[in-house]
Amino acid sequence: MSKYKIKKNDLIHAFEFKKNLYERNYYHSPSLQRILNLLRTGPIKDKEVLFKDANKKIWYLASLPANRGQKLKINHKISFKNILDAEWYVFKKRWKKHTGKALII
Amino acid sequence: MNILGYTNKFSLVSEEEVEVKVSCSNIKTYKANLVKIIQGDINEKGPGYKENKVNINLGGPYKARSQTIPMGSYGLVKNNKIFNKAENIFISIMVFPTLLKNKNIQTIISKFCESNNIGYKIFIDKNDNINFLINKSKLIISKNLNLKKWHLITAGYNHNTGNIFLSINYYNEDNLHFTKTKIQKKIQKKIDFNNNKDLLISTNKHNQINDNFYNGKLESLKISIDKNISFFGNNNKFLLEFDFSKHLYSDKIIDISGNKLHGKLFNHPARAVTGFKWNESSRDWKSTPEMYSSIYFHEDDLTDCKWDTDFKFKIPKNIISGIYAIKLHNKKDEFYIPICIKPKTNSKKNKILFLLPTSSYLAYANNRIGIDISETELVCGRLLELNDQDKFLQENPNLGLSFYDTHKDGSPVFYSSKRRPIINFQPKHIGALGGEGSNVWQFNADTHILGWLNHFNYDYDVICDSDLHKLGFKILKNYDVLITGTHPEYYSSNMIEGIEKFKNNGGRLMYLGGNGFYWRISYDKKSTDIIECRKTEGGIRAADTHPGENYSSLTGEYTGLWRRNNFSPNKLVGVGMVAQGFDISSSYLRSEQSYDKKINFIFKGIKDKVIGNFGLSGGGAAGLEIDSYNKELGSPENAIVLASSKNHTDIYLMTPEDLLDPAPGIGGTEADTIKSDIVFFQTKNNGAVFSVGSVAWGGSMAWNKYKNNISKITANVLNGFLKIKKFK
Repeated sequence: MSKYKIKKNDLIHAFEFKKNLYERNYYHSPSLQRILNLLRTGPIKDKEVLFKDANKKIWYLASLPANRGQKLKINHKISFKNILDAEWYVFKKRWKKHTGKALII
Repeated sequence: MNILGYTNKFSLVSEEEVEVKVSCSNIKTYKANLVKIIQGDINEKGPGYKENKVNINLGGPYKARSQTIPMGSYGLVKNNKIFNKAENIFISIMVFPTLLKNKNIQTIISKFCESNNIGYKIFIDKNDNINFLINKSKLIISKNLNLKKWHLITAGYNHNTGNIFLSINYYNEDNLHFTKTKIQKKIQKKIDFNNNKDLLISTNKHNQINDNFYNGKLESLKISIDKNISFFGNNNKFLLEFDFSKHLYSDKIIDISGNKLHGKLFNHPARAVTGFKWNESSRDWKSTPEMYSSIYFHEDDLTDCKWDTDFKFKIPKNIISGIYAIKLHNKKDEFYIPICIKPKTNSKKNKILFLLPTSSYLAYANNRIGIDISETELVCGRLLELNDQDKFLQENPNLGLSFYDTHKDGSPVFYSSKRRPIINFQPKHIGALGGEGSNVWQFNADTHILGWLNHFNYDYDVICDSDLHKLGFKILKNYDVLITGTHPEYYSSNMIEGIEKFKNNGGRLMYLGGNGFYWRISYDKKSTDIIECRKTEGGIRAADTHPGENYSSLTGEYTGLWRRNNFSPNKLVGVGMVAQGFDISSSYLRSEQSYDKKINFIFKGIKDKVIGNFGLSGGGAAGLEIDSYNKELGSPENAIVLASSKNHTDIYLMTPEDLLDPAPGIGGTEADTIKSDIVFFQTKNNGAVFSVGSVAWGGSMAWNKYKNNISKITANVLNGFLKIKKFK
C-alpha cells in the first residue's frame, strides 16, 4: 500500500498520464509511476473496476465489495464506449479523492 | 451463469465411461454435446473461436436440477452403539481458533440432534465465547477465546449429581503457562443425551446439511463415558481418544482408545500443521509426528462437491486424441467441461505429444486474483475488466479457492481439487493477468498452441499432468517431441523426473511458456484429483507458510520452489523465472549466436532481427511471466541463447527469490536480469530442448492468423525436432 501524497507540482504527471494513456504508452516516468502506485492500490472495498457485458463493447463503472459473497456494484449510469475513457475517468476520480481537488485537464 | 458442472475424470481414453455432474439454477432443461476445442480465444483480433461438434448423441435435453456445494472441512465418526452406553460424559479438546468475530457460530464438536435437542456439542458463539450444550442445558464461559492461541477445553455431565461443567485453560504464547476459567451448575439428574447421530468435528448438522464450521486447529480430542468420570482431568479410561498425528498423510483420523472409533476427514482440512507441542526444533512431521498432532479446519475448504451424476456416456471408439469439452447449454447459458482424450496404452501414437498442464489449472482453479486482491490492478498497469464469470465467482465463493487465494482467516490454501466446477477452466474465458489484448490465462491461453497445431495440420496426442505423474517417462517414451503449455508452473517429482528422462533419452522438448517448473506439488496418493502445494521459503505467493509447515502432508516431501529443491527450471529447460508483469509484453532481439549455421533450421526463412513485436497477450511474444538463462542456477553450458527480450516496463519486477538484497533498480526499465531468453540446447542421445521462457509466446503464435515470425520459428523448431536425427 502506497503512502505517497500527491503534491501541487505533480499536476504535470496527470498530463503525462493522459498523454501516455491515449498513446497507449505504458512506460511512465518514475514520478508518474509513484502516483499510479498510490491511485491503483488501497482497500478492496469500493475499489473501482470495469464491468463488461458479454459481446457488448460497453464498459460500466463498477466497484468491488468488501467481502466474498457480496455483490459487485455495477453503476449502469456510468458507461464508456472506449476503455481508455474509462481509465481516464477513474484516474480523475481517484485524483480528486486523494487531493480534494477536481482534475481539470 | 445458470449451469455448472464437472466430470469424474479429466483424462480418458476412447470407450471409457465419463460421468457428468451438473447443477443448474433458474432453468428447466439443458442440452449436452461433445465438442473438440480447437481455439478458445474470443478476441476478434485473434484467429477466431473454433470448436467442432463430435458426432455422438449424449442424450437429453436433461432436466435441470440444483445440487449444493458442501464447502467446509470436518471430521466424522460414525455413530456406534458404544456411544449410547453413555450416562456420564467428559470431553477434552485442544483448540486454536484462527477466526474470531465471525458472523457464524463455529462448532468444535457435535453429537447433537437438532430436531429433538438431544445430544451434546461444544461451539464458539458469535461473541467468541465457548458454549457447552447438553440437551437443552447450556453453559457459557463469557471470557473470550484468544485468537491464534491454544486453549484446553473440557466439558462434562455427571448423571448421578446432575452437574454440568465447562472449563477453559487459556494458554500463553509459550504454551506452558495458562489461566483457567471454569463454571458448573446443577441440572436434572440422569438425563438421556444419547442419539443416533454421528460425532462431527468442526461442524454441526442441521436439516441434513453441515454448517457452522470452525476455523482453526484442533488437537487431542478425548471423550470419556466412564462411570467414575472426573471433571478435573484425571480420567484415564476413554471411549475415544484421537491422535491426529497417526495416518497424517490420509483422510483417516485414528482412535487410540482401543475402541476403534476411527473417523474420516472431508474436504481436506490441513494436516502436517504444527501442534500444541511443536517448537522450532522440529521442521519435519515425519521425524517428530507428535509435534504435528493438529488438524487445521477452514469453513472455506472444498475438495469434493460430491454431486450426483446427471448423465454418463462412453467416449467414442475412433475418436482422435485431443482436448474436448462437454458443452452444457440452453438458449442463454453454456458451461464447458474440458476433458483430455489420450491414446490407449498400446495404440499407435503420433510423434508429437502436447502435455496439458492440468496441475497448473488446478492451482489457479476459481482464483480470485481479480476480485480479492487490490494490488492486481497495480501489476496489470490498467483498470481491471470484470465480466459475468467474475461476478458469479464473487457472489459464489463456495466454489472453492486456488493457491492464489487465502482462507478467510488469512492462512494459505494447501489443497486444490478437480471435483468441483472450475469457472476458469473453460474456452472463451477471459482472465485478469493475460495482458492487454486477449487477456487469456492458463487453459484458454493454451488453446493458442492447440489452435496453431490444428491450423498447420500437425497430428498430435494429448495427455494430462496427472498421466505424467502416474506413469512418468513411460508415457513419454514413444514420442519424438513433447510440447508444453504456456504456463506449466506446478510440477510433482514424478513429472520432473519423467521430463528429465525424456530429454536425456533422445526426446525433444519444446517449452512454449514461461514460469514453468516453478513450484513443487504433491498429488494425493489415492487420487490425482487432489494436489497440494505449500509455498515454502520464497517465490511469488499469496501467503507465507508457518515455520515448521514446509513438508507436504500427502507425501512428506519438502515443498516450495523447485529451485530450492535442487532441480531448478534452468537445469531442466535452460531458463528459469525472473520477473512478471501483466501490462504489455515485449519483443525479442536475435543474438549473434542465433546466426550460427549449426542451428540454421530454427530461423530458416526469418530475416527479422526483432521478432515477436506483436501478439494477443500484451502485444508481444515476451511477457507476462518471463524466464532467462542463468548458468549459476543450472542453465546448461551448451545452451545457446537465441534471442532476448528488452524494454519491459517497470510493472515487471524481480522475483522475491532473486531479490536477495533489496536495492533500487529492480524494475523492467533498469534491471538487466529482467528479460526473457529463448534457448536451444542438445541433450544426451540426440535429445534437444527449445525454450521460449515467456507466457505470452502462444499469443504471438496466434497473431495474424498464425502468419508471423513467432509462428514460423515454432514451426521450424517442431519440423526440425521431428526430422533431424542428429544435431550438428
